[in-house]
Amino acid sequence: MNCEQCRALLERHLEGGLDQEARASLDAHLKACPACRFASQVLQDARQMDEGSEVPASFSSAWRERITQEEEPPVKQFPRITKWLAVAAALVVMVGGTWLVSQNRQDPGYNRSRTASSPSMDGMGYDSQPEALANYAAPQDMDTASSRSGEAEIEKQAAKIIRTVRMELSTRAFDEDVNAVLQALDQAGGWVESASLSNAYSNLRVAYYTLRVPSSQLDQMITTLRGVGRLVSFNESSEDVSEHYADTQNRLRTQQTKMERLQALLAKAETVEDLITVEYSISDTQYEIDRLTGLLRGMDSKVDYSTLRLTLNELSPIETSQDKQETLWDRVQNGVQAAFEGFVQLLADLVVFLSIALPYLLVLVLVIFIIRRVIKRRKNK
Amino acid sequence: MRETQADKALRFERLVAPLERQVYFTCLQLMGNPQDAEDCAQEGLLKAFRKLDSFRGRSSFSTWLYTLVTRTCLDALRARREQLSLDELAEAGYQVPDDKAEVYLRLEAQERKAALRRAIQRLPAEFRAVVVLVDLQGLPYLQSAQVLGIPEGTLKSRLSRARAQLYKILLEDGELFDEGKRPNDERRDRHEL
Repeated sequence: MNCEQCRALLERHLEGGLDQEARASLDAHLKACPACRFASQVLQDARQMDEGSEVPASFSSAWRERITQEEEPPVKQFPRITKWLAVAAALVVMVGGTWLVSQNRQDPGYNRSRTASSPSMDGMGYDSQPEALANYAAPQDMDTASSRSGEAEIEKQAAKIIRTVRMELSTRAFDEDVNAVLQALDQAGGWVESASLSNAYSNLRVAYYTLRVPSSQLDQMITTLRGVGRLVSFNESSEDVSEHYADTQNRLRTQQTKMERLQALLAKAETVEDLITVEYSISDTQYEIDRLTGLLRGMDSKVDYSTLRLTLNELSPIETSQDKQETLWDRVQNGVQAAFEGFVQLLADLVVFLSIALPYLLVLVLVIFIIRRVIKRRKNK
Repeated sequence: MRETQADKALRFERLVAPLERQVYFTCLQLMGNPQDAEDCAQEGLLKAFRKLDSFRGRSSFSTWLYTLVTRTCLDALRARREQLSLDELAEAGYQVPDDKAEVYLRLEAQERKAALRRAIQRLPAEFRAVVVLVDLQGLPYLQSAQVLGIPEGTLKSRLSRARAQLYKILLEDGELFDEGKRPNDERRDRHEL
């Protein structure tokens, strides 16, 4: 064994981990080698360095006392990033909810009173008709219509005309004008067949009405409507159903005559077979009578009550292209007012959203509270 | 069930009490004097107490405790900014001279231990740590490596160099080997050391 080997085994030798043979070999080398004996002695001394020494009592008591003085650390449940994520998530939810509410606001269920009116909108600016209207030849149509209605009165028996009018209006006072339309309709003695409201573009609403106006009142109604908003387009079509009506009337008369004969036959029927046959014919005939009567009624209805399809467009409150007279200050004022209104509305939407969401939020808070409690409990175990 | 601070203190005390001696003497050997040793040991234990909940049992409790205490001591040593140069000879592998070895071996145990203590204090912190943990505390290589946060291979090589340095310091200890010197000279020599 050389010194290198010896040194490598020295530790194990001190620990008593060598077998007999190795131990003997090592001991033999140590006897002969002062250097390795020295190393061995140093290691031995090192191991026994603190033998017989005592831990100072001051140290012993000091650390024990010190830890009892230690206060409970502040409870930090969630790392910071989770907190920020929670805040961000809450913001997203609130913004999203508010947006949703404001979208839903645009249906007839909500009442939104208009307080703003552009100062330049004296007389609503509707007196000047856009040039595009000339293409629609509305005045000519009016003349034809009025002459036609005159004709209709004279030839009441002979001519059955179904008039269908399509009008598109634009308005800045949407709700007022809707009311005006419905009032006019009521006065004319008409009724609303269908109505729908849509806002495809943010806040601007569009109302689609199918109105039934008594034919005699139709022209008046049109005139009234033209005064309600600004006319964007006008279209009238007429369908002369006189012939069809007369045909249907004839068929009906035929069936009614047939029915009288059948009834007479029924009275004379003697055998059961005859009875049944007649009854079948009667029911078929009755069916036809009902169908034709219905047709006639439908046509009468359409003739008596013209169809007016009305589209009402909402214009945005500020249309700078129209308001040439508007000063810069006016525009600023309008801008500020609109922004303020928008903001107030946003706040209102937020409040609505919060009130809707409140029960859910409460439940969520409760759940989080419970989770935190559980984590806290686990941490302290 | 929530653990109170008192419960925690009790639990800690039970865990640490069997290791108290090791903790103290590790600090004593690293720092060189009882006052510094107590301060470092105290600080190390306090750190351990505060971190007790984060001890996940990945290593043994004693390894974890040793790590905290050793690190505390090494930080303190670094703060001292001791200027201890590494002798080049020690790196190459020091050869123990036979004659000096024999002189050393004839010393009393107490003298030898005292010399050893002085010699350890003259080791740079790096070497001191490995010698204290392995040779004085008797920790296995693996555990020592864990405590110091180094690979086992690094530990072994550092240990052999540390020992070489230690032997050199021991055998050049003026107090031991300058026989027949006048008291004044001894004092002068001691000062130079």
